Amino acid sequence: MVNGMKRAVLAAGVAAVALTGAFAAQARDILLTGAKPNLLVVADAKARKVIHSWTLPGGGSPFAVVPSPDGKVAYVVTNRWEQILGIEIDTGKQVFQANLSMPEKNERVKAMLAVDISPDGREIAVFESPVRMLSDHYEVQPTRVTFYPTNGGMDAKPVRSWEAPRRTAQMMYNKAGDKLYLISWNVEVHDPKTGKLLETHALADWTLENSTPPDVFGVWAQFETSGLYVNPYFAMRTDSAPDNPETYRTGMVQIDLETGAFKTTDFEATSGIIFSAASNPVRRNEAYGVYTQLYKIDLDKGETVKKIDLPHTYYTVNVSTDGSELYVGGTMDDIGVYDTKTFEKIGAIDLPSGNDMGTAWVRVVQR
Amino acid sequence: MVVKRSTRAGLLASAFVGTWAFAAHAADVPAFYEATTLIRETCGTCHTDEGDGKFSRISHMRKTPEGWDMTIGRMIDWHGLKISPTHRERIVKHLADTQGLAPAETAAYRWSLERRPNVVRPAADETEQAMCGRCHTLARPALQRRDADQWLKLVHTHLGEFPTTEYQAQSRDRRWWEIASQEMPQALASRYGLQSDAWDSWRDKAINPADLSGAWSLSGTRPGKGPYVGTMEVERGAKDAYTTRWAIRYLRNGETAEASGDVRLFTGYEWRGTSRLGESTVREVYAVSEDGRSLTGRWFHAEADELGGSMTAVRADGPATVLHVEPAVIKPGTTTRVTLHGAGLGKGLAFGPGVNVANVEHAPDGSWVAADVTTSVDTPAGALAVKAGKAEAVLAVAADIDRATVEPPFAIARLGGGSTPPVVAQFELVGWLNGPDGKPETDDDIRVGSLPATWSVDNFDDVAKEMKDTHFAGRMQHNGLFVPAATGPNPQRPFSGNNAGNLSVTGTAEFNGKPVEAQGHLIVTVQKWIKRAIE
Ligand code: HEC
Repeated sequence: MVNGMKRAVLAAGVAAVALTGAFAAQARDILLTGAKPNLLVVADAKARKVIHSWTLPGGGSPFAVVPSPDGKVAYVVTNRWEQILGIEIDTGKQVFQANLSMPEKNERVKAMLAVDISPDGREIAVFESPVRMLSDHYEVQPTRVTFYPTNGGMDAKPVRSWEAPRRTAQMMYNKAGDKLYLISWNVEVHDPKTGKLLETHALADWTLENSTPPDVFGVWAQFETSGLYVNPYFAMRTDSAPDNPETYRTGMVQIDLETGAFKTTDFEATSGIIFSAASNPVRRNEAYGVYTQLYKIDLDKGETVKKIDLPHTYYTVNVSTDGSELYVGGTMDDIGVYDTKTFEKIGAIDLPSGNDMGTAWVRVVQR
Repeated sequence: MVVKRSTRAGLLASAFVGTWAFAAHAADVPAFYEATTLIRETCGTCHTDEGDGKFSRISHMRKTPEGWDMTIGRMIDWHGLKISPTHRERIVKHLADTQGLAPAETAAYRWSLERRPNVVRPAADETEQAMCGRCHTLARPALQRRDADQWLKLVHTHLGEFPTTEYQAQSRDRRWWEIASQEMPQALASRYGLQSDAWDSWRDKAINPADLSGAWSLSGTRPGKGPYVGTMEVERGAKDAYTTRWAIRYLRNGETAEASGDVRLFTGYEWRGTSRLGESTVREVYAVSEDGRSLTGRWFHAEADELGGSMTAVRADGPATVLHVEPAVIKPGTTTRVTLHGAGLGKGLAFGPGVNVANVEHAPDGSWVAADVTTSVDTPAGALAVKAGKAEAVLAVAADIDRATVEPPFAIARLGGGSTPPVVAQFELVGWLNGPDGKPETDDDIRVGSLPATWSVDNFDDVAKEMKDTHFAGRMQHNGLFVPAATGPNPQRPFSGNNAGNLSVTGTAEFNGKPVEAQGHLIVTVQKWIKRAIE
């Protein structure tokens, strides 16, 4: 229920944000991530503590972690990206399994990076890269988006599927659940029920003057608290010399998952690498980038406003529901906690027995 | 060697069992029908028998012995093929002999088969470099031959097995799959198609090679130790199987080493040997000339292929050939004892007009001839055309060496760590004369060979200086051998980084009382887990 209200609050927009704080007393932020060997790690964010480490069946290690909207089940892409497992967060009980490969067609199918759950929690949309493995040769098949019902149990079967652009790396539903965004060379917006192409936002095909096409590549979903998808892009100015540092531009792609507004903002002459980004649910003009450094970017002004060195590289950054804390992770065995205002390190969550997160997503749910 | 090598040896061995294992077995070459039967029984469960001794996929391409062995390794690793080492050897031998590459087809890529470290690679087609050369060297496609349909199947194998390929940098900036599947097969087929005149004229020799047994004269350079000369006795076992006894002497310090080994000949010219050289096991990758009277290539340590020496060998019974001149450079107005090493040497020694030759002596077997060579102060700096009977060689005359270069000018060393030992980098200082035009780096420059040098490293730039790369990345030893550190993460470095480094390398030698110096560039980078016969 609390979660339902939270979603209503988000839907009501910025004016209602103050209320989110009011719920914070009852609803706590829970972090979900994966670690080697094949662990689903559940942590209490404010307590800075891992509360569960569930061992998943199979010999792989988790990559994508997708929480159900009620925050009760985590859907984990694991086992060489060939399975989606649904695990009850509180009990560790497995309640869902989709084997993506189709032996009857000799098809080995991998979930390629992009996966999301519909806002009503009924369907998981996964971007698949299939290959037919025949007796003496392989046949690469077109990539596709496939839908699995979350009530499919331990042998879930797809209900719909259609061809989708190769190299799609991220995919997310809008808040209403009637649009599915696919981030590939460009952004395609599909109707998740029919597969109809609703809109295309140009990235590789953009027509921005005096610029190369942008390199947009993100593989970590971390937009759930803000409802604003942000991802860095890198491009070069074509009207400026290669030895001029101003030639190299870093910007941010933004998609408002509520309004559908699509925007790109150039915010600096590239000063470092940013692996992934997230935005603040309270101060929505504020985005954070992470790799060896932690960036604070003002999306309205289009500038980097703060930057600090991190103790080691991190791939992921997510933001607490109340917008006060950042969780950096995805590498090694610690999640660093930083104050969104001061960038002061205010805590750390150590994974048990040094389990390496190995690029796994770090998600925030409220419970 | 100061580094432990055992694990690396394991990796190397497993990456390339078949071809090397031959040496140990020296089994009979299977007759044609036997090999075909073996392929039918071993591979036929998945590969369709097309009749006429042909099988789907297998019969529609040509590869080097290493290439065939890697393919069978893949059948084992990916597709669960079960095969004994002996059968693997037989199939590799049969396929390399009947569907190999002609000498002319491998000539430009010997560096790959020879595993030469830090070679400057031939200029490549831009698309091929971006599409293929990003993950492996272009020797991989260049050392096989097939038509467009089979290149296309290989492209499917690539993305099918490595689906992240199209997401990586330099792939995602283009329609990688469309280019790979629609443009590359045709482009590769026109460059490396199945049928070739070179192979058509070689294929008979591939199965009827010259007998290599007899006495040979050797020479080469082992970076870090300098030039060596030696002799080799080759004895024939079964067809295409030989045993060898060889001995070398390093000219710089007189150090000697003896070796004995086993050799298997593939495709009529691909010499693959394993020898015990002193305390070490070395591999030999040589190409035998068409007439079977000379060979060239490289030997390297089984456990560290970046260490080894070049090799040239000729039949000891002639014709007259000079393999090495020692020293490589003499001064005007001096008398110097000069020795020519090679075969069939003794008669008709001449160093050109105005140069005096005295006290000529030669080995009874013709493997060397030596003389006191006197130049006048007026002998112009440059190259003397030396004659020894019908053999020709070059001896440089110069009061000063004009310049030196570090070889390789750019090297990559890899950090060790866990069970992986470091990959070292061996540097050499090479002396040059500017030649008749007096200008450096022109075609008429005269290379005077490797100079004994002292070595040091420095931070390559300000970033390296700030990161204290010289402190963390490893140590330079006296003979130009750089041994990298263990990988890290190192909490003493920013972001707990690994011990990577960006270093400049300086070699200093003395010639005629004057210092000669040159710089190279060394990148010390992360470990590499898998080592392949063709990288
Ligand atoms: C269990 C099935 C299986 C067996 C047994 C098998 N192969 Fe294959 N082979 C495949 C498959 C699947 C492919 C396509 C994927 C690939 O290239 O790895 C293939 C591909 C090949 C290719 C094409 C590779 C290329 O470079 O494109 C060659 C050559 C080949 N096999 C040789 C052999 C030989 C020789 C044997 C027997 C020693 C053998 N295979 C046994 C399954 C098999």
